[in-house]
Amino acid sequence: MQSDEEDTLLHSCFDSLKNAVMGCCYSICHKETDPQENIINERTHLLEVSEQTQETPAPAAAAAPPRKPDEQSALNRILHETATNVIDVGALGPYALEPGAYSERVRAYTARVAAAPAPAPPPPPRLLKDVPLARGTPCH
Amino acid sequence: MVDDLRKYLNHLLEKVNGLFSIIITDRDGVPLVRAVTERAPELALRPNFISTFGMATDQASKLGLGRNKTIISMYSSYQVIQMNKLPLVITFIGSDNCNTGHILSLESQIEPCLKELAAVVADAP
Repeated sequence: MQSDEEDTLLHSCFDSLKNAVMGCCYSICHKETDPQENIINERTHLLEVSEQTQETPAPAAAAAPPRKPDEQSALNRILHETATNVIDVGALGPYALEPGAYSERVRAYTARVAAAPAPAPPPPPRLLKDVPLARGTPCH
Repeated sequence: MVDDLRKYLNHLLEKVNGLFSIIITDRDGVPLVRAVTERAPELALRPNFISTFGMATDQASKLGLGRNKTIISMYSSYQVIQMNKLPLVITFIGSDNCNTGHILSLESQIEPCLKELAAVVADAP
């Protein structure tokens, strides 16, 4: 008799414990997409919490706003200018035009120069030349 | 045009004692007009010799003294004076004892002819 009472007491304890644990699990595993989400019950938030604050905070690097395109282009420009201003004679190396390209260019220049109008030969330089009279200089 | 210009350059060659050649090229050393005497060293007339000036003048312009205009190279038997008239390059080759100042003064006499030649180089593909 006593043992039956003990058994029922033990069962009721297990049931209450089970309910408590399941409730805990429910609160942990509860998802926003739950269809019962909109139902107001004892677990409904009294104050509305925005979604951003509910999510776990992202790392600082990922949260930083992406660089503006003009800033990126300015950086690229500075990099390009710096590379242009570097004097690196060793990196230049020997430079020679391909023989085919050379002869082709010679041919193109010859044809174009022959077709170009002849420039007027410059007048021979003079040893003596007139200079403008300075202001205020008396004429004799 | 070429014949007139060559004649004019030959006339300038005769005026300066010890000057062997005047060559007008593009920056790769491809000649447009040249006046050369037989005393000019053949090696200095090669395009890969002349084209080094294009790179040298670019680098010399980065030294903080402004744009490089002329490079004078004195060798044991010759002197080479190259002028930056990009897209053209004027190269003078003379003997080591040739009057360098006299060669430099030819710049003003050649300059009026360069406009048409620069247009030829600029229009080339």
